[in-house]
Amino acid sequence: MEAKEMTNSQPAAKDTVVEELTPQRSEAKRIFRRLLKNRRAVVGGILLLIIILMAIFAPFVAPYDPVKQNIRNRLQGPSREHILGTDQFGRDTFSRVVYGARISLRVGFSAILIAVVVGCLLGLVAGYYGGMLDNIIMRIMDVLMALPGFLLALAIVAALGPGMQNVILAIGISYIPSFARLMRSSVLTVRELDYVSAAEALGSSDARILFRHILPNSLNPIIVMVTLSLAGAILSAAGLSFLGMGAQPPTPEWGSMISSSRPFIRVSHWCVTIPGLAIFTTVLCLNLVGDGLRDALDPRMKDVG
Amino acid sequence: MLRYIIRRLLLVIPVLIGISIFVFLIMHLTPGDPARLMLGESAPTEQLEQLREELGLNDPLPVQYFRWLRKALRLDFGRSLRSKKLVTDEIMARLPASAELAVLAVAISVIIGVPVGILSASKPNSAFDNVAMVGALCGIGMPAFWQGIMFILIFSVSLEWFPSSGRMGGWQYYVLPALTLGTRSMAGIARMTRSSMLEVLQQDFIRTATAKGLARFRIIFVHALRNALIPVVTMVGLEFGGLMAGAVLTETIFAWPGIGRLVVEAINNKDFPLVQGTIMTFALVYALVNLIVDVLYAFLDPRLRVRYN
Repeated sequence: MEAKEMTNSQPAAKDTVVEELTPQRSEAKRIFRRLLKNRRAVVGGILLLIIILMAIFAPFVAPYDPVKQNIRNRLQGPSREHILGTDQFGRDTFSRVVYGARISLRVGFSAILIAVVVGCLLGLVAGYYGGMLDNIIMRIMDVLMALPGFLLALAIVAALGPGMQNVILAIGISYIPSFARLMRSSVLTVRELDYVSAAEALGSSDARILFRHILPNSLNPIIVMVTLSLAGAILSAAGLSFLGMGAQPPTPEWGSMISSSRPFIRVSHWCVTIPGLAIFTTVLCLNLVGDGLRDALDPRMKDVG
Repeated sequence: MLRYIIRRLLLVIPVLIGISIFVFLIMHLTPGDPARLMLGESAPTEQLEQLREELGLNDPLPVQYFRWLRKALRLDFGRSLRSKKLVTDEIMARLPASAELAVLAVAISVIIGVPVGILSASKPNSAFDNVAMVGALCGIGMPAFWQGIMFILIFSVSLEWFPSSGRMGGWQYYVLPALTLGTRSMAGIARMTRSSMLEVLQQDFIRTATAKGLARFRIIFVHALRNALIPVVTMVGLEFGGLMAGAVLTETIFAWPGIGRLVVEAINNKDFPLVQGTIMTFALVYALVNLIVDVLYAFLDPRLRVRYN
């Protein structure tokens, strides 16, 4: 057993040595090469790319208008005209799922953008200045973490009212604390390093130290977290829409498609199964890429993290 | 140990105060006049004014908050706007159903998740490990509400093995909801157990045990597992949060009469006292579970105990 593990880890160790001996290759390239060796991450990445392209070129990919009804064709199984069948209003499921990718990806990216920007800023400030400011910021983060993320988002949407904008805001807020905590802890590590003291001694401004020196050097864990949080955000948004608190019909959003077609599941399950598979695939791919990135950015964490 | 528990208890208080402010504000963040929201658009002005006076909505916000908090501390969240029953009674009536489901889901996820994680870690990169870990990732990526519907489609509609909704009438009613709710945590726990085991297996005392010529089985189950399970306990606590969120969706799918479904109904009905009460209950339960987990953690890990004594 031990011997087998040795053989498994040996080529990896050799690669690391070779990589370290060739400084001309940039860090990003090295990470990318390591990522390419991870079969799961590559499969996830390719599928994810296809989903993103599908979302961008939705009008060209989708054979039908996603909201146009055709009652005579309702609740059909797959056929030559409708490869994934139709829903209770005779709308083409495939076209709706393709357009749904736009919504889910936009919601995920927007929510995480809010979380990253606000969370990282708060974390930077808390970690760098410390003291009172740190205390206040982190206690507020503790309060936001007193509810599990999805429930916090649910409560915020309950207060702001249903709708996609509010869902983005709510999910964004629910992810702020994790980014703030992560950023703060990396700042605490990085700020003790010599080059930060050197920059301070040279009289660099706080903003310059924070954004030129500390931020770029705490980026790796943030990138991994962004990928994994995107998966969570998409899942939460679909869940909120499923409960009727996000996208409203006839918007082709995956979660709301499942909830509105659910009563007809005994007649035709395609309009429920397919949007769910779409959510599942997207989230799975993001998780695969996220796991792969974590291993590639920090090879020591491989098989452990 | 006692000092640690007390310290940990004291830390919960400011968080609960913070969350109570947030919960109180839920009603006041909503655009529009709460009184009008409660009575509807067509309510006459006198009636609105009367309700406002009754609810104390004309007082400054801090005054309103402290009045609300004083009652909330006695677990009095007012009456539901819909059913006119006490919010506390409504919640208490729903809590047992949720608790049953949560306990079952945790049990399923630990009973399956931990052994899978151990097996995966004992032969990393084997076929079993690969299948189990891809399976675990699938479990994490699966939307609970969709999984529930698929379970109903397969096991209720097609195979007719288990009922699709309700709770009363025997164990069959528990199978699908508990499995749906437990899947995600099962996956998380399997992943955590695996990585925690792998970390422990690299440590010196394991090498010593191997050098002593102990059986691999004994090393894994006696030496490694006890150490590896410590972070898994925390994970169970964390997963409990996900479980509460999952309960909202799972209970909605299976028409399960728990507080997860209650909060959705309350939000859809704009029943603010009930929303406040249920969200506060979720926060309290979450805080309590985390407290128990932290204490358990200190209990399991003698290194931590020493630090606080």
